[in-house]
Amino acid sequence: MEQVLKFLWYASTIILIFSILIHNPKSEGLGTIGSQNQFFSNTRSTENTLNQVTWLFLVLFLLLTTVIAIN
Amino acid sequence: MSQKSDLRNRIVFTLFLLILARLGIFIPVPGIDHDAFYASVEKNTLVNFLNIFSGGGFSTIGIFALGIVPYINSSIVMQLLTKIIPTLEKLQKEEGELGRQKITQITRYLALGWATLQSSAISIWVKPYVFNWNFAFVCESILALTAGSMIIMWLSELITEKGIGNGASLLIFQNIVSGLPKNFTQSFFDANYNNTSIKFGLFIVIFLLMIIITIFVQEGTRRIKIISARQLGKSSILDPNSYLPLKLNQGGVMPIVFASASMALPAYLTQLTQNPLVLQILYLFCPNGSLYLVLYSALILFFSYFYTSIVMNPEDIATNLKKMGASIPNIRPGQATIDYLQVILNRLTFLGATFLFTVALIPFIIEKVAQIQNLRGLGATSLLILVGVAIDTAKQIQTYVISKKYDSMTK
Repeated sequence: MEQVLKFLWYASTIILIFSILIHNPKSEGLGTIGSQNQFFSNTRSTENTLNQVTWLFLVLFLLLTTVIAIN
Repeated sequence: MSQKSDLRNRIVFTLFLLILARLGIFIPVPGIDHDAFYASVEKNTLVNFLNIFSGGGFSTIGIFALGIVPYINSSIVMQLLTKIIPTLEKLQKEEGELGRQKITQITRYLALGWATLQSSAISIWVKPYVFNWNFAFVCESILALTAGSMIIMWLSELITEKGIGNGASLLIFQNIVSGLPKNFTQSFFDANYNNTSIKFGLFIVIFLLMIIITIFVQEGTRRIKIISARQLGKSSILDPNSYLPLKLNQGGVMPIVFASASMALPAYLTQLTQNPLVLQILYLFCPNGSLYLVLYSALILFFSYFYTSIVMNPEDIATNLKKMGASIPNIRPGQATIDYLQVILNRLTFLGATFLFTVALIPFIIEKVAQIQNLRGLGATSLLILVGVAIDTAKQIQTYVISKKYDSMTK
């Protein structure tokens, strides 16, 4: 059981990092203090799917970490 | 009204993400004896200093212990590199939106690298407190901390896109604010919770004074009169409403954030080395060391000039003025305008940086004079960031509401 949890945790962490990195952010980072992000990027559907996937793995990661820490 | 509910949704979304970021600090990295660790670092001033940016994440070693710091550091590095390496500079200036996106992507990868570095340093540092220090633990903690930092980075991007304000600044703001209550109780109430009221009153007065000075410095502008060629035909009186505003502190809150993030570097490095000579040199630059203020002022100056040169380019302004057919009275357009603007910008930036540094100096002076300790936690850095971010966010909300009003008018 422990091993399965650990393995799931490793997998979800790596996928999470990967999916966050794939994001294509529209903002300029810390250079500008506030900008008007009214324009959209080319593929909104992929962006939405990617957001959902990232949220899913985020929740999974947090849950698994809490569970492992409790044990 | 739909615009009001839209704004409200954004604010709620932002708050939700901020709360999520705050909660994650308390999820512990597995495998560490947190109680022993917490007890031992409570008295460690270095850790307290580092705590400012991660909102207490350091002393609890939660997943989000690194916070937004790797992203800030990688932004600093990227912006410095953009100035130095011509390929990057071309990407930023000439290729427009796509070029900037590429630079942002590089910044994110760099943040990943930095997070990995810092998390490995932490996993070595907590060795005395770990139940089971082996390679698997190091791997796990590096992964956990890096993932935490990436999550925070992603949350800050989400806030910038779908919420209000600049995500990274808001996260730093939240970190500082969440450290405030603890700092207050530590400074002014001793173990029996007896209030030392004179100190407290004095402190409040100084605090308010610093806030007021900061607001003046942040908002101060120098107006440069402009005449447009069309006006000259009508009357010979200078139209006082036509001016070019130059802020006293062009970079806003960013130079301070970057300067203090860089000041945290020596503190980090002391954890990595055991070499006594290197440690001695590094201690000079730590919060209690003698060269701390010197380095801090130098960094504030440097980043202020740096940011001013990025944000306000005299050549671009002169070109735009020429295009608009306007000019500054008594100055010839072209190279003379560029020189004139550059001189004014330099003076303004110097003044602005000096003000910033004075505000940074006040806690130290007070400490020597009135023996009020622990103003450091509320020190200049935190105060400047608090005021700066609050002003920026408020302005952004105003701009957003106004732009929505225009939208609804044209529909």
